[in-house]
Amino acid sequence: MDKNIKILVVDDFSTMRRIIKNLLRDLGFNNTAEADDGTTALPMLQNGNYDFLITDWNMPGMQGIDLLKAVRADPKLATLPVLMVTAESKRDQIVEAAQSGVNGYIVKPFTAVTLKEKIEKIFERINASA
Amino acid sequence: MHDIATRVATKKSELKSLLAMMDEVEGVEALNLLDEFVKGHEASLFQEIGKLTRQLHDSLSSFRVDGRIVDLAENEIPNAKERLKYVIATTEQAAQKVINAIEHCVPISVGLHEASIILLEKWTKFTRREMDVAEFRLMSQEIEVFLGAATDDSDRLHRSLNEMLMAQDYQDLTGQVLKQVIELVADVEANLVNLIKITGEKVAVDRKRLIKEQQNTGPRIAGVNDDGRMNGQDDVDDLLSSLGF
Repeated sequence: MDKNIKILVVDDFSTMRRIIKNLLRDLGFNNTAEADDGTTALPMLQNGNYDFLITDWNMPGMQGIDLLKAVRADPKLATLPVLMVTAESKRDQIVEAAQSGVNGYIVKPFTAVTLKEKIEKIFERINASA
Repeated sequence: MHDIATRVATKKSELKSLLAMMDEVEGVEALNLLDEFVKGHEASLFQEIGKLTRQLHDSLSSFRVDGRIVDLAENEIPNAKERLKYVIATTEQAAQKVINAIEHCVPISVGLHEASIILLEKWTKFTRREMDVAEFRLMSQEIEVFLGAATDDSDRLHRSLNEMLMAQDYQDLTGQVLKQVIELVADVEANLVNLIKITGEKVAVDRKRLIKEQQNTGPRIAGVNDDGRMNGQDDVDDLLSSLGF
């Protein structure tokens, strides 16, 4: 898969953003940017030609689930692959994310292997359906 | 009711006999009889007021026992909030320190790895006797540079590893603070239970309503908020695949 894809990492905790960015770099993805909630992320996505979005759920301002819905509602962003990485693990929430069109769901705490697997799986599916 | 009727009857007959006695005597003596009668009644009134006062005093002092609650609310809980903020700040600081150190180490290890691969290729060429003298001289210089750099780099790695080790002291510091806060919560709990006992109100509360329907509940903590929660990534994957993922 293309390692030059542009990835936006959204989490309100800078430590978690840094962890994810470092893991992504280890996987060969160097083209990453950060945002600390949905309100900041959405305009970045709309103007920035991103190929992939990794977002937390529980954030001040705009929550990850609302960001996901906004992305799906925007014709320019509707097909952007979205991976949710969050501590929220209620059945209802996962179902809601799935129904809102999430491409993958990782619960915190997670491992580097899980992140790698989910990203690979998402792009396998996209390439298979393309 | 019966009691009151009896008491009214008693008082009436007491008054009647008082009037009869006052008829029998004259002037000042009649007034003295009246005074004595009233005094007797005043005494029982004072007794009643005394009883009420004592009850009020008891109630107030049992509230005062829980003046601890006032202290908890005014001082210790705001104090605990500051302590918990300290825990957030300290753990965040530790995490940033460790990530800084890691970000310092990664390029060093990548550099060592890449330089080793290049040298290993050349060294293999040399052991196969495929290298001429000029190339060998160049390789010798490269090995010298590499060994010097490796000495410095391993030292830098060691220092960063020590920084990561030292950053773990947050566990001790925040652990102590959290223990204090746990003790405070237990204290608040005990005092609240006392307060409820004193007020004697049987408060029937729907516990589920008390714990408001929260959308976001943070990480799963066993026995605290694990209702309806997935037990880790495998459960989440199972659920998602059942939804067609």
